[in-house]
Amino acid sequence: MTKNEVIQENIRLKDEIKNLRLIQYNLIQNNESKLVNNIINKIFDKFDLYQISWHLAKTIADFLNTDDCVIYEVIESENCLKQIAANGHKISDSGEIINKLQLNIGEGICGHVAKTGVAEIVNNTLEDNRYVSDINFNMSELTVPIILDGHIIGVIDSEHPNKNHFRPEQLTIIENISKIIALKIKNAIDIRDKEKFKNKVLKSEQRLASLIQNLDTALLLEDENRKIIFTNEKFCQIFNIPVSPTLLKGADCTTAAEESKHLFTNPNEFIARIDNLLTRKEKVVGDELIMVNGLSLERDYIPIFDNQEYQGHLWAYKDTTLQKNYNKNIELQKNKYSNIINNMNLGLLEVDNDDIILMANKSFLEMSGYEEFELINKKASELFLGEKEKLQLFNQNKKREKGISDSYELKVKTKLGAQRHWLISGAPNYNIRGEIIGSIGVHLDISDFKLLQSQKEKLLNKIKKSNEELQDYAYVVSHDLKSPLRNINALLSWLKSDNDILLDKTSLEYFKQLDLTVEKMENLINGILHHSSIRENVSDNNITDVQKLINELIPSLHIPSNIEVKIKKTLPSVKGDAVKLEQVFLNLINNAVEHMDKPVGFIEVDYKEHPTEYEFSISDNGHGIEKEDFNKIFKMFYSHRAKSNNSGIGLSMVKKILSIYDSKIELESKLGEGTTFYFKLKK
Amino acid sequence: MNKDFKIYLIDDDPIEVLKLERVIKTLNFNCEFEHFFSGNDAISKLRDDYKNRIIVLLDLNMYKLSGIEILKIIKKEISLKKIPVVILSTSNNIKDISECYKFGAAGYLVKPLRYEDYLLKIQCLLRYWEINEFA
Repeated sequence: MTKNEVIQENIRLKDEIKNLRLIQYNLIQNNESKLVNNIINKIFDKFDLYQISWHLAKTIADFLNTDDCVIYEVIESENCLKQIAANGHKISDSGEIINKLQLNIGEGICGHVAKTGVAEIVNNTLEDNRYVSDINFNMSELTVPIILDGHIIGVIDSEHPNKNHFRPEQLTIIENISKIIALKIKNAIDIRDKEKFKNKVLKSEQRLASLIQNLDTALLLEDENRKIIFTNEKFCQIFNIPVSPTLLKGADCTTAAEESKHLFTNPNEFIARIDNLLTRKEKVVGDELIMVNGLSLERDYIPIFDNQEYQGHLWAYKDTTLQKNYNKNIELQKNKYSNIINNMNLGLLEVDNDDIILMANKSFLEMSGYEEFELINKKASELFLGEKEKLQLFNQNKKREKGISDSYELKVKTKLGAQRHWLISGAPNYNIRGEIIGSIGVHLDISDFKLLQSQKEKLLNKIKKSNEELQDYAYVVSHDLKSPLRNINALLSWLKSDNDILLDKTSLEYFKQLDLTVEKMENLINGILHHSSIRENVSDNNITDVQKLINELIPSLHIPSNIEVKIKKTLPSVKGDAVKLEQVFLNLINNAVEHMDKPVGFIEVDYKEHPTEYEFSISDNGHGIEKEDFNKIFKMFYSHRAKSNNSGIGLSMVKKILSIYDSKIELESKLGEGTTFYFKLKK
Repeated sequence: MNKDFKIYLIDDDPIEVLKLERVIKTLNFNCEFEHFFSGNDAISKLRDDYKNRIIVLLDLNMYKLSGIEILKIIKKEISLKKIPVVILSTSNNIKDISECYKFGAAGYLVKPLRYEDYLLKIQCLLRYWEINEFA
């Protein structure tokens, strides 16, 4: 090759390089303009932020030879970046962004760019600790802010798995693109925000409308020309309008009142009032209306003004029938109870927590002697109580504060100064919130009852005392009587023994009779002693085994051999003191023995069972008792046969003992054939 | 056998005194016998005489000082305490009996109606104290 040829070749190569550079430049230029064309074409007729962003992300990704491009919206008010569009593997099958990333401003490379507004290429993310991995880890990243009027409104962010993928001139191009589309994006954001707001307003309007439709208050909103703006179900229901409330929109109301006046009990007044309200155009609340069908309504009229200018008015009708009936019922109940309270025979007094009288009924006024005005607002304890009773009441009120109700007796002074005893049943009084606001007391004057009670107690004491005195008297007298008897006996005995030789047979017989008389006298006195010693005592509630008692008793009685005592069946246990019950059986058996006049005698003891008691019977085949003597035999010192040595006290003692056990003795007898005594004892 | 003791009878009934005198005489019992119609007399005599061996027979039912009061006084005084007091009474009331033993009685005899029974009881009583040691 000649020198010339080499030069030629060099020139050609130079030209070629020049051309290549030109081509390359043109190529890049070409690419850029192609990119711009592409973008403009795709988003020119789009206004939706998301559509715009999707196209932007895809086109830029293609241009940068990568899959990954994301568009962020910077939301300054929330200090964050939100992904609004993405390309490549960040899209799911349904077109949604996977792992929709949200970054704080300043966080990650994107966040950093959103903060500084300076576009960046990171060639090795491993060496940049700001990097935040999205789905896949990428080695290089290109980040460009979208800026409008000095505000960063978004970020374009593209990544690639290889190091050093992005070139500076690409960054420049994307920055240019960013400037071009900024306005478009901003516009789209505004449109979207407006849409959002409109939706919110719409939703709240819908909610309000449905609320009004279903409101329990009938509403009618008219404009200044009395055309209906809206009304609701309840309104149609009350005024018997058979169409849906939405159909009434725009209807003229000028004749409506006239048409529905027949629904009210007083139609003329209804019309007059509406005319009056419409003329005056002043707010009126709580007009009461009564309808022919029995409903009670409450009506509000509210005129509506905008900048002093009359715009229409709102009618609101509330159905108060239930409430009215309820109030009426309460009123009736209240009357009923206040009637009861006033006419009841018990004094009723209501006081507050400081014992100040709030209410007193008629009976209380009568009991206390005060007039109502003398009591109300006075302190109850000051009016009625002495110091001791005040303390008593203080303790009662403490109980009331704890919510305890109970009854107590109190000595009080009436207006006239008379001492009375009241039985008071007190209960705490509560308000609606359940707080104790005082107490209510029911008062009963028990003074007369108290007096009777104390009289009864005195009387009982007196009886008890005189009974005791009587018993003591019987006891003392008996003993005093015994001493002279003993002395007579001693003297007789000495007379007899000292004059033994001088006494003839007759005199000796007299001495014998004297001895017998003295002995009989002693028996009588012993009888009285025994009788007076029978008293009630604790052991009367003991349980006594009658069979055992009889078994021990019979051998000690020295029953003559011609008389047999038979126990028909094993005797039960009964309530009673063993010593007293022994006296009963002893005296009855002795009595039977005493009056036995047959050569072969028998005495039978038996019983019958009743639900709560046993009925014992003691029968004999002895002398028998005449019917007219049935009562006499139980009297003290009555003895059937005058010559008997018996004290005559036995049956009287049986009667007395049984009376202690609320039982009495009965008998059946036939003269010459025998007698049966019956008595009952408790199980 | 030690027969040298004194019997003090305190009873306001003169016939009771006669009865006891006659019993002692009848039984031919060798002892000193003194009687007092009132408790006060008896007690003042006892205060002089306490060093001797004495048995007091005491009636319960008396006009001035009652038997139980006399018993209480005797059993309270340190020098008289040791003297055995046997009650002679008409009462067989369980309350009286337990009361007397509670306050230190050495025995309790119920006076019987018949003189013959009385004689037997007193004979037993004297025999009993005859065989007993006391100071």
